[in-house]
Amino acid sequence: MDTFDTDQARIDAAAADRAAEDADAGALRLVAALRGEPPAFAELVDAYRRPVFAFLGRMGFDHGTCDDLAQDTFLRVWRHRHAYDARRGTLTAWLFTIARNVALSEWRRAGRRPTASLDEHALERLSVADDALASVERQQQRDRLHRALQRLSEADRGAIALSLVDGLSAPEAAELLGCRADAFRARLSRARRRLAVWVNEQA
Amino acid sequence: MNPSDDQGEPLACDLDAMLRDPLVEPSEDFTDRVMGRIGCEPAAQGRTGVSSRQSIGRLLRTLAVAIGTLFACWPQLALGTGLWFGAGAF
Repeated sequence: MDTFDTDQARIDAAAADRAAEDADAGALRLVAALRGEPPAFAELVDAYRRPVFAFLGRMGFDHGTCDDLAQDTFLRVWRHRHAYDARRGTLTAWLFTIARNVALSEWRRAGRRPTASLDEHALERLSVADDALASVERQQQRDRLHRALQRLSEADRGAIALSLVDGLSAPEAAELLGCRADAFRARLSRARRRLAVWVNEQA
Repeated sequence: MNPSDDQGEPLACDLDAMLRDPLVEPSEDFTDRVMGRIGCEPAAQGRTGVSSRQSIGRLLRTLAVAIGTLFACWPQLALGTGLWFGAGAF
């Protein structure tokens, strides 16, 4: 039994090492894509487009605005790609710093909090194979969350959106928001409590 | 990073599930559209090319000015110092 446990632990450790190596290799490949010519850069856009969209959606923007802002984010990344310094932070942290700046610029430009509905074309895009009722319920749930997110302050929304970015640690997210890690955790906890209350109010 | 680490509320699981669901997703052609816009951007090599052309132009202008100065000064060079040339002009 002990031998089995030891072997299993060794296998788990080897698997963890392989996963870490794969993650490192993936990160290196994406940094190479950042430095590369447009065809290589497309790989980076492919890898980050969904996380960037999700981040912007959680920041309270509707689908059309998310599309524009995500494009602006990748354009800025392209224009400033030679400014990325791997010694100063991860590619993910750098890219989401740009995404957040783009979001903040949009808020300042619009001069108000985003208030549009989440996705006016969502119902049109529902898959035929999906159960219609489940899809409608899912969309209603998304709308509830979207409305609740819009009631949060910009900083609280940023804390929630950044906390859900894969590959971004709490200290990195805190640095991005310009606060300490413990302050970030406190803000996140408070924002989540408010969000839960507001989502349930609408249910 | 798990946002629910510091949560002990019954609502936390539901909220986690809701938040994990991406509210918006990119269209299939998103990457192509971004790359299309990037294709319209002045490339870094292009900027270097322009810079090189500017440098060459600046060098040629400097050479032309130097040659013009030499032409203008040839009597001085032929006759000796500028003083002689200046005196000759009177």
